Amino acid sequence: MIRFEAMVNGEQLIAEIEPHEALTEVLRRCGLYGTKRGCESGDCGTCAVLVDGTLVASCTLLAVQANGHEITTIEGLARGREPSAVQQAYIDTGAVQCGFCTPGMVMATHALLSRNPDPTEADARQALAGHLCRCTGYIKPIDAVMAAAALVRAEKEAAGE
Amino acid sequence: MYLDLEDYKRPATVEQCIDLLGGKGSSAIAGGTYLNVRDHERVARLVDLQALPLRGIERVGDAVKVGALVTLSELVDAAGELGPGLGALVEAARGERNLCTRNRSTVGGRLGRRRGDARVATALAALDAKLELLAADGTRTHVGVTEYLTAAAAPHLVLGVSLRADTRASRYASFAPTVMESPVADAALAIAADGTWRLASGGHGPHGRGVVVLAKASALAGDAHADDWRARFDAAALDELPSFADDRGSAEYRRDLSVTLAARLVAAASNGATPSGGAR
Ligand SMILES: Cc1cc2nc3c(=O)[nH]c(=O)nc-3n(C[C@H](O)[C@H](O)[C@H](O)COP(=O)(O)OP(=O)(O)OC[C@H]3O[C@@H](n4cnc5c(N)ncnc54)[C@H](O)[C@@H]3O)c2cc1C
Repeated sequence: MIRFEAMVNGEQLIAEIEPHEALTEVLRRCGLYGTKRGCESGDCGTCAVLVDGTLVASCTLLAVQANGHEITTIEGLARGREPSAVQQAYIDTGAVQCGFCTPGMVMATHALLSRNPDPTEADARQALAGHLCRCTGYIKPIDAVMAAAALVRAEKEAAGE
Repeated sequence: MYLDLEDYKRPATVEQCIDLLGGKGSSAIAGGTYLNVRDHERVARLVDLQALPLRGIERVGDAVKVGALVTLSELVDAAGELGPGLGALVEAARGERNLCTRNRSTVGGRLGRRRGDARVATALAALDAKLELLAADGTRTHVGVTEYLTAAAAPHLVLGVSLRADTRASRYASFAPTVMESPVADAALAIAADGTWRLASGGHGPHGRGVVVLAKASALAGDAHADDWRARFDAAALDELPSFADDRGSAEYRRDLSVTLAARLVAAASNGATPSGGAR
């Protein structure tokens, strides 16, 4: 067993882990079920989280590799009971159907907007390229990214940033 | 699934790393985007490279050095710094469209798999890159990409890649049925400072022989405006290309696709550069 210590959603998470355990498994064992277990081979994107601010598939990353790093999961985006601007945009545009791929898409949108607050539709498509969805046909998630960008910009403007 | 994994180490120096890799069942791990999915069943010890000083892209004299831990995303972000001379490498990295994978995949990991579909390997072969390797006995050597890929299984650690900073231009092209797949075939072209053209072709198998430098076709690349050029170019390239078939394409299809990709790169570059010779 190895001691896992990382800042997860701003709080220190300590767990005993096996070296072979994927980060997805350890997060879920610690109650963070928002990170979904999908293809387990890096293809579908539903397990995406941020490690040190970078989008990664937590199924192709061992928890030991993430030891000591800063991790953000879907649970870390909301502001208390209030959804983040990105989450709100997914609700407003109806980009959620069964919802299984949504956490990964939301994380990807978050990662895109933190680097590029004014994305084009092509940027949005690229950002979601690694996220498979069987319900939405991808139209509404693209709308959600564009709506999220507008919301984030409006929030920043309102805050005088 | 890892069946035998018992030990994980994160060495801080390459010397410690090489020592740890010497043990039975030891394997280096960089991004983990390949090893954590495949070919890990018998790994007993993982030696994580993340703490090693193998990051960054820097100009050293006439060379641009790319550390083994540089990710594909970092290559894309460094497009401005790398310039049009090393554009093929950036385009090859951009070819990985899945951002989670692009963000974690390292140059060393792409090379370390020693396969023909690694994209950056094709670009690096055209750019005549030299890999800096560290052997188990601590000796450092510099070898070409195809030499590394085709060597008998080597317990070498790739420390980084060295490229000519004065490369005049380079381009990369690939084809895959969907943007999320690895290339069925790809090609890269580089024009060195002295005007020599160098073409490489990839996708020819899940092994190191899947990337080849097309020396004869490169020698003809400068004639692209001649009437019979395409026929001569195709014949030369076909003569040098391997025959590899899989469920995504017959050998004939893949060879034809490879020649087309290479010819398109030459045609596009011919408009902007003055060639003066063949492959080095
Ligand atoms: C969705 C998806 C798409 C993919 N598409 C492609 C593709 O198109 N083409 C492709 O080639 N791969 C592809 N891969 C596989 C993988 O992402 C790449 O090969 C990647 O570049 C491996 O890099 P890594 O840093 O993650 O390596 P790891 O998984 O950490 O290691 C891969 C291998 O390289 C060895 N290694 C790592 N670093 C070094 C080093 N410095 N020196 C020597 N050996 C080293 C390891 O021991 C291991 O054997 C894909 C993976 C996923 C999940």
